[in-house]
Amino acid sequence: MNKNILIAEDEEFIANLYKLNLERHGVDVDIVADGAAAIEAVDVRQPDVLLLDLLMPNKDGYQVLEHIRQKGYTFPVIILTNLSQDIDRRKCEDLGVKGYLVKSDLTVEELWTKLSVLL
Amino acid sequence: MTVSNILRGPETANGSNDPKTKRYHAVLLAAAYILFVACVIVSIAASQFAASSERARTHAEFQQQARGIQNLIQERLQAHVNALLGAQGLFAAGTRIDRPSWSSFVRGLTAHGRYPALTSMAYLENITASQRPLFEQIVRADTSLNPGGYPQFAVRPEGARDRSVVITYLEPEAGREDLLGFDLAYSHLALLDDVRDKGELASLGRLAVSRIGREYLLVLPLYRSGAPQDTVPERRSAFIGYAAETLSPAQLFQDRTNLPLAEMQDVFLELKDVQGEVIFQESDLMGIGVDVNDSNRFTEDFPLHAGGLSWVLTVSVPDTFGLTPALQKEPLLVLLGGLAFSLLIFALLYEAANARHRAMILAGKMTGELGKFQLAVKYASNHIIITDPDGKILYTNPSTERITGYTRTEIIGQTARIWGGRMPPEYYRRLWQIIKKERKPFDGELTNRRKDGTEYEAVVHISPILDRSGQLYGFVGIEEDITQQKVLERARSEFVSLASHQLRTPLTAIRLTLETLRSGVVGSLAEAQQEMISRAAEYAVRMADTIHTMLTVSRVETGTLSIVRDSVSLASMFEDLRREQEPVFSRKHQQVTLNCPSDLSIRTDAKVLWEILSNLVSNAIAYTPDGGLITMRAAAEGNRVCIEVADTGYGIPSGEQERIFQKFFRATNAMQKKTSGTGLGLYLVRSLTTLLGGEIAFTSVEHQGTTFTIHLSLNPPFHEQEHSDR
Repeated sequence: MNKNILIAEDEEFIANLYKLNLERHGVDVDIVADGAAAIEAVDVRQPDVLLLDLLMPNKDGYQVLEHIRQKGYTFPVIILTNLSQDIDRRKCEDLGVKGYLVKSDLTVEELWTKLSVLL
Repeated sequence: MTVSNILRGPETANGSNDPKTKRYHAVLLAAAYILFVACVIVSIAASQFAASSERARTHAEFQQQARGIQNLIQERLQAHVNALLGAQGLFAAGTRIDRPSWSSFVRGLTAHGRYPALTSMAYLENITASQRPLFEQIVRADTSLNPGGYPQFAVRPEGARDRSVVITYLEPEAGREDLLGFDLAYSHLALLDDVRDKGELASLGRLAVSRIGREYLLVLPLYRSGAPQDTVPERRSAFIGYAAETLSPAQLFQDRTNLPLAEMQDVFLELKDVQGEVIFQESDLMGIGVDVNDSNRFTEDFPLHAGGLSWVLTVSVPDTFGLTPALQKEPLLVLLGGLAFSLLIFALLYEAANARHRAMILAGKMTGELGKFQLAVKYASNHIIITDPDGKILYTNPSTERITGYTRTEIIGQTARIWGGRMPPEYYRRLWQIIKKERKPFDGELTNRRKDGTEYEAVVHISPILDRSGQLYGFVGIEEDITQQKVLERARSEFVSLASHQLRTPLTAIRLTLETLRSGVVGSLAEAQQEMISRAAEYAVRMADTIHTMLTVSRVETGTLSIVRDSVSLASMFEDLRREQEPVFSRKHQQVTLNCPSDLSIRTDAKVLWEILSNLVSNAIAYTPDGGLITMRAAAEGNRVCIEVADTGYGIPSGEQERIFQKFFRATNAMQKKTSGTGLGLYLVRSLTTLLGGEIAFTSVEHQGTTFTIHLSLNPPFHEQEHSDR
């Protein structure tokens, strides 16, 4: 059974490009377009890895992380965002994320390198 | 009120240039001088007065004593005259006085001792040339007194004379026999005649007779008793001879113990006749002449009159007469004492005036300086407080009231806790540790609360105040309200963050699209298409790099880049750098050398150091021709580590080396080789190195290469102030 990766990303085009490229490595990729949907999705089924954007409509990434912490979920989360402030990075690290990646500085191959070690 | 007025204010009121102070000082000094001169004048006058009053007193005393001498001498002289007058009376009483009568008369006089200067008295008989032989016979045969008579008696000197005045009786005779028979008319005829005619006593002067050469001869004419003597012819007709007396002037002054001048020192006595001939002179000064006109002597002349004699007595003594040695020095002592007193008074006044003046100037200066400081503190926009060593507030400026909302009276006596205490306890513990235990200044940022409950952010500088002995007097705390600044900073930071996010999202889409196209997932591409997509991807990467650099610069400049120190292995960081740049090295056939001890690690922020080194390595690659050599070295040097990135590239023109760390600066040769640089790289490298507490330097020779050297502390102190986000 393939590993399941959940991408929470409000830019649908970008989400689909990640899905397209990652699925070549033999993983299943689901996409949710906002924070509320992400919370709903992880409650229904915990993914093997969550790729989480920070700036999203209907609850942002921090709220999702807070929810995950409250629920006690243990699946790894990688932040995939275009915010690069230290404060954001530190907050996420404090909330227990496994990685903090800046989308524009990253190729899908580099993403896969970081992601694959968590699977 | 303008600032210059405020600052000038106190000085004109109290400063050293105050004309009032100057005038007062001048008046005091003038008073000191005037008083000094007055005291000196008074001293001199007092000395003079003492001298003159003393002199007047002693002079009067001298005069009195000298007059006493005069009286005594006059008295003694008069006694001699009286003796002669007595003889005159004797002859006036009887017709003929014989030798025994004369002898007993004279002895009667001398027996009483009333005539100490009387040496002898003689009767001189007046005889004509015709009477002379008989006269000589009678005298030779006179045995009335001397049993043997006077067989040798003769009128002398020999020779014929019309008249002779012959010494006939002489008492005492003993030792003077040879005077008998001496004819005074031989030498003094004119004078004797004059005496006879006037009927008055006269001095014949010194006797020419050698043995008694120092004696004076006084003569008084004798007339027959009963004969009229009122006119010259009557007196000539009644004339019988002379009574004569030999007088020793020295004898007049004998018996000094009875003289008032007995105790005088250096006394000078002189007796002169009316012709000015010195009759007698006596001086204690053993032959040393005395100038009676000397102003340092008291000299007094007295006339002496007796019978027809008119002499002058001069008495002279030094003007120290009557003064004891102490009294002699009195005027000098008065003068010296007065001068000393004057000097003392002057010195006291002068010192007092100067001390007062100096104190006034100092006070003026200090007040002026203090006034300036007070005004500076008062009008400072910063909140300034001064506390005692326990933090109790002693002073507060108006800005403190404005910023905190508390009034002065509410603040004084309290501690800063009334608006503070909003930070974690650890913060205050460290603050007190630094300022009180270590006695060092503390700098920090904190959040306080105003009286109305609103919070404000402040930069605080607290310094311990130590007195001269190093004792802690208290603290001065300066706070600047940076709430507005922080709001602006946050707005800027948020804007940059949002802007970069908005730029990055489309870039992400572009890069992902290009990557997807290249991967062939959506269908394979022709070679030309593949090539174009690759080039487009490179541009997208460069854009991402630029956004990253600009964002990092912004974070450094706004202080929002935080330093998180951890142990960093330099060897592995070098390896990572090489691995990342491997494709470029290969493409440019550049040789990379790493030289680093495998166990060398430092405590630093790995991301920031990576940023620094990757920028330097990227530069080295970009500005070194194909086939060049790039070397990365690291070594420990004491408690620091030295990291070098060296290349064999184009180098930096020597004229531009000073400017290479400037923002947006690009070397002229670099712009020719690579047009795409932002000029931010080395600016960022230096900013980040400084942020890590390190230093950066370089050496470069054009066409030979460049070496950048970074020094970082191996173990930076933990409490080092670090920027942090809020």
